[in-house]
Amino acid sequence: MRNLLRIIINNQFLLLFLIFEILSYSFVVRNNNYQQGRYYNVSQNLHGYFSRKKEKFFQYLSLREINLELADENAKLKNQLEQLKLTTPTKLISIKDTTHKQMYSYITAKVVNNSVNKQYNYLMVDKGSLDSIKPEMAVISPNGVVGIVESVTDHYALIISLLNRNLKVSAKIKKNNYFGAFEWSGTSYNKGHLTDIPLHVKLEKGDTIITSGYSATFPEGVLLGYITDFSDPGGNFFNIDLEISNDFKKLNYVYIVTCFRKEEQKKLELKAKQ
Amino acid sequence: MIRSLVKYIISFFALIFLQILVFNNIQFSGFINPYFYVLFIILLPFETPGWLLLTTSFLLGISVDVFTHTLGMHAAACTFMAFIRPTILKTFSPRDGYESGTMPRLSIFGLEWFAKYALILIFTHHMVLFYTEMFRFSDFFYTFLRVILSTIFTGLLVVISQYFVFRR
Repeated sequence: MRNLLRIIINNQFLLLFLIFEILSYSFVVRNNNYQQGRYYNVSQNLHGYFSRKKEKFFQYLSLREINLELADENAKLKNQLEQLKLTTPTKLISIKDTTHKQMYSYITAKVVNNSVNKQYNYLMVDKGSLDSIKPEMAVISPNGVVGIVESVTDHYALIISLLNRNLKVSAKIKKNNYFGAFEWSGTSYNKGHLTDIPLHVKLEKGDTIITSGYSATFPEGVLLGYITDFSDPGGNFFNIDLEISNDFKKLNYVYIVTCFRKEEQKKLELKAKQ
Repeated sequence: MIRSLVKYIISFFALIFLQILVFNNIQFSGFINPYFYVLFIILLPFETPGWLLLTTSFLLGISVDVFTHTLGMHAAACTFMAFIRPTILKTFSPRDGYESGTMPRLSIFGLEWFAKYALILIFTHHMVLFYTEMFRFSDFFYTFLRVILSTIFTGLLVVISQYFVFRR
């Protein structure tokens, strides 16, 4: 303690100088627009750089899991393909339909930043406006819904996570098509609520909840979660607790969904409102 | 003692007003901006204790900042200048140190000593100030040219002023 005091007294000139300089530069950065902009620019670049490095390193560690996940999805897709081969009559394929258009297309992107422990969580992916990503596009992963694109820069896109209290997703029960709204519980990264399901619907624990496709953002039938518990709070609707199917703690690759008919649907909806 | 204290306080405010009202309006094609007020730090007595030197310089800088809407920039430059001053004085000291009772004045130590001492201090001040104003190193030589030219101009003003007003 005495030594520390002596060091401070011996170097008081230097210390005072440092204090004044730090004070001055904090004034500079806080009160001058140009310098403030430069400062934030540089610090943001640094942050982006380091989080990319970190992501690269950890991605290497989890390669095995990613491989398994991709293999799983491959198998699923192959199964679906086989089913289609069986069910689609070969005649249909030869019909030329000029008005037919692909409804959705998918772009893969890698998550570079993610959070699960806030009330309003966001994540960032490494595709941006140069990859024709636009705001309001849906983001999904093999395990279910991830979120909606909020804003884009040239190379990055900011995504409102499903774990964000501002986000509501139109959802339905897979077995009987009753639809409601999905929202995050705000407490744990794997718990959510389903609202607006009337009391006469027959529910069971373990029922699958999928997206309804009504909003034209998400394709129909993307997995959201499973019912873990439900109760009657006294009213018209159930209180339903869900387990979110996606594990947001190990999100790695996601798909960004382009919906080609969204504009069309929106235009019509607008007309209906008028 | 009291008389010299009053003299320094008056010159503190006089230099700030002179800087704001006159010298801030002199700008030759955006290249040369004289910052004459640093004369105050140059003229402080040899015996000024370190903490007082730093504090007055910081206050001087921040006062100029308040009037030019550049909060912190002049303060940073002046603090750095005050920090470097004892080192400069030591390198330029006569063989047996400064006599007690003398001041860093042109009339006592001569033109050559005073010009060297003042120019180096002004140069460090302008260096910190101009690079803080730019806040990047991409136009390094352009800024450096501005520093050199402004240093020469401020130095001229400081030396000339010694022959007229601040003789004691």
